[in-house]
Amino acid sequence: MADDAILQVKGLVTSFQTEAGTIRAVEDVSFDVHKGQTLGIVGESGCGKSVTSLSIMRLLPKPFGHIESGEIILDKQDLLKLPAKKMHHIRGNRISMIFQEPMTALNPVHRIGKQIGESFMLHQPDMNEQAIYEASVEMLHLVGIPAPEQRIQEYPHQLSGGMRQRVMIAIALACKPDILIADEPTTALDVTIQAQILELMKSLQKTSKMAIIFITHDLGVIAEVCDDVVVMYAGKIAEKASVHDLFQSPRHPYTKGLLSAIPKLDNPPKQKLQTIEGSVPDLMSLPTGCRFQNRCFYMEERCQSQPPPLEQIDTDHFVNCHRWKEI
Amino acid sequence: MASYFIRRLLLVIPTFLGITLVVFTITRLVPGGPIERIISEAQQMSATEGDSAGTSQSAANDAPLSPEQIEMLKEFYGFDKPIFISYIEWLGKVLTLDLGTSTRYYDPVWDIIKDKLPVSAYYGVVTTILTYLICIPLGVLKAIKHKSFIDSTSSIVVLIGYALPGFIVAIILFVWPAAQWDWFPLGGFISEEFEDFTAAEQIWDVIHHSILPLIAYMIGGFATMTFLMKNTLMDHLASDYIRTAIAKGLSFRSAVFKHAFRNSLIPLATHFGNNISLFLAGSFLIEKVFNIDGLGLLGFESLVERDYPIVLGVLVITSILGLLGNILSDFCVALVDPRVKFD
Repeated sequence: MADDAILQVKGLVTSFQTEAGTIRAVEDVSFDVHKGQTLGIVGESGCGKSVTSLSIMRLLPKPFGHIESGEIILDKQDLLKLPAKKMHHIRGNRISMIFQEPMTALNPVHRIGKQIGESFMLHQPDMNEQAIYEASVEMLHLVGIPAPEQRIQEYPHQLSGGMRQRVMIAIALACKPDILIADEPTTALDVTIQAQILELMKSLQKTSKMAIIFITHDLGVIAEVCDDVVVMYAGKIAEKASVHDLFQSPRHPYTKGLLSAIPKLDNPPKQKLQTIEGSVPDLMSLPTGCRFQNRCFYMEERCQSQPPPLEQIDTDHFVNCHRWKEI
Repeated sequence: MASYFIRRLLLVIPTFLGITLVVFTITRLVPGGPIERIISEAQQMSATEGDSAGTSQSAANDAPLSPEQIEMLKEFYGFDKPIFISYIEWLGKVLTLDLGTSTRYYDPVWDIIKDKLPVSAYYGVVTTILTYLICIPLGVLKAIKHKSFIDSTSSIVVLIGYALPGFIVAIILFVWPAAQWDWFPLGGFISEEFEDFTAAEQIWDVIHHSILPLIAYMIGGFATMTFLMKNTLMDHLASDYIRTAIAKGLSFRSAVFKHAFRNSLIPLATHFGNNISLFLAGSFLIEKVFNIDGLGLLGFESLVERDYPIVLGVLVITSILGLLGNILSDFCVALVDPRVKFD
């Protein structure tokens, strides 16, 4: 499958310098992203899913964030080895990103038109003003904003959250990127708007054949939009599979826990919600051995002494557990 | 928006009436004033006359002015009427741009103020412009190079300036660079030979005279402005929309100047209009040290000497400028922040 991978992340390790010491927010994360497909990265807050996406964009907060090792390969070149200037041509052009908070992700003092047009100005310098205007209106039209000629003159505060996220998508897709990274794009929106935005992303993907990396904590969203899924826990990949395999035959106890925590419509009402007992270990003081040990029903001695390897159990199914065969 | 500013302008009227009425009343209620001054002057005069004549008219010394004379004086200064009536009369004159006559110099107040206005306005305008010209770039530099050598050293300098009162700085500058080392003139606004200078020499003369006072004026305001700029810019640099801009492909530098900069000017804009009242008020202590004949010193001396027409005249000008300055600030904010809509 690696042949048609448009983006490969190999052995990514990202750490942060904090006052208390160095923490590794992402450790040994690898995955492939395929053209026209959607890869979901799912996990709890602090599991490293956003840091992974920021690492791909090389947008880690400076000077604290630091990529220790690994490769991020786009077009046979390692993005991590590119000089910073070359990265400017990648961002917004080859790889775009949309963020969780549409309310604050747009500059409050610039008109919508200017913020979309900026992408064209940066990456297609031969476009004149009129062409940029027309292309911007076209983008707004594409993301389903009514009366784009009027909206383009407005400021972000005049738009609703859903509309702003559409504008963000318009900005991100302006230069027809190969990869769109969507970092919890619907988390701040209400459910009906969320469905609209997901629908929009899916239909745009169909026409443009771009790959999407979809970061979320919501397994329902994963099931709806993704082709492949990476489940992360405490900075490491717990399980990696096609969306079908993951929901049909989850292997990692954490994945099983997550899936059973989804409330079902046919459950009797007022029933106690399923949870995974305990909490994520502190990244400052990770246990030796498996990182999920303190919350795992299947924990045994070797889980405490040695970290499990990421084992391949099927063509596209990987799991990071000593006991996946037994459970 | 226009209706908002018209409303704000109309609100200036009652505020102005309130300010002037309070101060006018106070000038009437506190002891001292032109009549007392004339009485004491008359007392001194009759005392010296009495000594030189050597006669025994000492009975007159206790009351150098007869009650009728005092009544006449009261009438002359308008103190014979109730406060409110004379306030209305004063206000009526102000509306015809007549600020009355100084009780010390017997010149029209407006002429006296007009004399001092250019000096004060010069210092006010130059101070404001220089403060913005220095503090905004310095704040931007400090924000971008946060925690670097240049950030820390400039913080030390700026904070020392903030800790020292302006007049102390003025005294230090006066004693060493001006008096001891003779690098700068000892105060004043222009040299005595100013008229004979060529144009270039005149310009240099004004600059040469104003360097030290300007430093004294500006140094205190530096810290607030620089840190306001630095801190707001740093807040904005950490904001989501800057991440969006960089994710779009902008370099960090362009993101700072094209996106964060204008947002960071919003808090500075809220202060901008208030500068025009500072233009004129000046600082009488700095004016005193450098012997600058400005409005600050005039207002202070008039207060000490109970020259109420001048006190009220200065008050009229500074309060109107202050009130208009507030409106100007609102206008500046609306200019840089499209979210602000007045209606």
